[in-house]
Amino acid sequence: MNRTPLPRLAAFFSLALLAACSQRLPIDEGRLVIALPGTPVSLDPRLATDAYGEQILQMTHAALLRLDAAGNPVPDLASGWESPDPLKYVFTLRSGARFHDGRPLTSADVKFTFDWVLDPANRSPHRAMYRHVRSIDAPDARTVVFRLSEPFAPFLSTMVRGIVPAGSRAGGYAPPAGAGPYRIDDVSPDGAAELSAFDGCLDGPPAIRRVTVKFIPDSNVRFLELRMGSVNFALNGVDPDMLAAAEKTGRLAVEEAAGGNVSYLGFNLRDRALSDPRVRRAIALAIDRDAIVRTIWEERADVVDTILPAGSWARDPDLPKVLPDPFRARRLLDEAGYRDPDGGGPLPRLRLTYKTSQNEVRRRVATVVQEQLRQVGILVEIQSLEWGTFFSDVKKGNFQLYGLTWVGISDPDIYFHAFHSASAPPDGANRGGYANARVDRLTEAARREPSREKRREMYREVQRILARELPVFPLWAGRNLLVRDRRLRGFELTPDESYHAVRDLRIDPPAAGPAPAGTPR
Amino acid sequence: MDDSPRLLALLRRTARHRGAAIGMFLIAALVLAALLAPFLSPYDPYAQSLDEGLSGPTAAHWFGQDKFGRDVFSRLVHGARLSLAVGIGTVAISLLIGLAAGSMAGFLGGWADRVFTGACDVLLAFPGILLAIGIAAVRGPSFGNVLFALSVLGWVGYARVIRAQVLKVKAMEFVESARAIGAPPSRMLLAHILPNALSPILVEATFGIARAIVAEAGLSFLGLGVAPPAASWGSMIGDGRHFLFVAPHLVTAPGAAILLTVMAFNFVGDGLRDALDTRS
Repeated sequence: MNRTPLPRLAAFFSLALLAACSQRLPIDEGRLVIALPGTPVSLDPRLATDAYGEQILQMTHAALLRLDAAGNPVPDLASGWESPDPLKYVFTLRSGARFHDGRPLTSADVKFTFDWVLDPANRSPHRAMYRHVRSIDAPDARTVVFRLSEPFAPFLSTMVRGIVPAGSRAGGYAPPAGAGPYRIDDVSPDGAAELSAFDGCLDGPPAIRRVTVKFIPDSNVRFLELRMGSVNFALNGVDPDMLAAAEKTGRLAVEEAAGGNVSYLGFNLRDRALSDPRVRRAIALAIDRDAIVRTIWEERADVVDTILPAGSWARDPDLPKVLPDPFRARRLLDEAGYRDPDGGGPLPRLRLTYKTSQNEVRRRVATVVQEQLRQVGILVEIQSLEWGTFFSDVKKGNFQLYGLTWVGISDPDIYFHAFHSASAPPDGANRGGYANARVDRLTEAARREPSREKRREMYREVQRILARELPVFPLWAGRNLLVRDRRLRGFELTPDESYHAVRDLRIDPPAAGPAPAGTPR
Repeated sequence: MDDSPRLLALLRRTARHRGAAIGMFLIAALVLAALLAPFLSPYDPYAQSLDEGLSGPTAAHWFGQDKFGRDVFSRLVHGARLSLAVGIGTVAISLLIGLAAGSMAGFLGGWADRVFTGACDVLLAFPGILLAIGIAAVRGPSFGNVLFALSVLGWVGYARVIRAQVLKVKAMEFVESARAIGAPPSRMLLAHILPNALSPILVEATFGIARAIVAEAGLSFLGLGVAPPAASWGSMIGDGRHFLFVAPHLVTAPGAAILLTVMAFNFVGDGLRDALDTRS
């Protein structure tokens, strides 16, 4: 009698294999599973400031306007708007809009949402963004009138905040109803958010009925889940090094588009060494941005010379490029009085600290910058800090160098926010203490100027001044990278990483009933 | 008194233990590598060649290159310095404090001993590695902070062993006779009690080096060890784990180094324990 266990083992493994093959993935059941690299802090559109919260809200809460791929405002809940004078904006709502709970959405809800944000008692972090709003009126159910205290050219781009029903209390993970294509069924902060299609959506119900948003902080885990198929959509969730491996799986496709997130190196201009423009220029000349983009970003980023992303209408295309030149960098340091104490020996000309978050790619960038600056005699100590500590240090001006990224720049008014001498934190973002009277005048005038042509001219001059004085050194704009299941179609990537287009996604070929067992996938 | 013949005899007895012999050989190799690191490493451990990042092992780069194109072998050899320095440094500091505190408590007895025992119980209630993570996180990554973080609680174990030994030896007849002929307390402690109480500490210290090396690797893995670009085995694994799917050699080499080193110290510790055990 044959007593070897081999045939039985073989049978067991064949059965196991068969079971594995026939295991149904979420996409086979028509479910979209999105991976986010972190947990949202809040899901109330009046309070959320973090990228993950905003991205979920783009699927669940409709706003008066939203921004198209070029950053221009387009209608969402509003069918149109007019501005009879620079201090008045009148929006007309589309008819038939409803919240997830069935209540009709009227101008009273819009007024309530923005009045709530503006009420100091509610401590909304978005209040400063609307400080130019003097009053909001709702003369009839479909008309909303915003009156401003002074002209504010970027006003329309701030009308992208999700609208909540009048009377809604502040909610963190139990947010008030929205009017977007998906409703939030359930959120567990350390796991996932479950969304389902809202049939009463103005633009019709979305094609995919069920969406799970998983919060997965570890990039290896995100990649493994994508590979296994338990996640089928990740926007900027896979490290550039893994993309080739992702494409090799056959199940996944990678899409790439210009991004709106611009990384830069910040200088503290209150520091004795860094207050000298020659030292800042020398640092810029020592850094080889192309090499970093080529190797750390695997070519998935574009070197920039201003902090506006590529598609922006205000960007000056003729700014002088800073090309790496270690020789000139050393000469500039000599001129600034930072001579090499031991002629190529281990003693540095200058010691600086570089603060960065603990984000893995940013830490790698810091390591390369450290080595490139060592080549010109600047000894850099990297301090890679937990996000809260890091950002608080940056806001307090407690740094010499720091690396950070501007996320989702939609209007060139960012120059007022980041470089006007009165824009010190916490209300502004002039963290390095930059002051230039001409930049102050130009950025003030540009935000009051209704003509886009004239604004463009003013911002171009600002960019030329900044390129000369380098209060920050613009590095690169990361491209947006989408890794998705090959069967998902219809998503348009935008520079601002918008999730609005999730409603356009469909599964092709469509998910049918139960798949026959053993179908190889 | 010359202790070297006794030490040699001890080493010889330890080397009879086969594991300990292998361990001693590995440690000797490691110490040599650490001492000769600048001559042994074929490349500057910090020099980057970005375009060669993540290359696998070749004849020019035996253990491959990391994301920045740095030579993994050179970094491994320089990492040996750091691991040994942390291991020996932590144990030396802990031993010094532990020896002073434990021997005083055991020798003096009474209220000093009660205060000491109470303090030890309180300190041992802290989870050591969590406290080290906390200290390193607050004070930032640096070699000195790693030593500090690992020694803060590291001495308590030695102090307790020393105290117990001192209590035992203090009651022995030769100490009684020393006291009877009027030897001053300092001489009794330093010349008679301590030299006879040290053997278990030697074993404990050997294991302690292994523990400190693992703890340093853990802290560096979490980004709380030495500051970049210093090569530490833990941070090499920490950085390399992101490339597990594309460049597994980045974690295997430092992982094997930690495994071998810790194993070597533990083997020697075992051998020492057997050699010092009077019953065997």
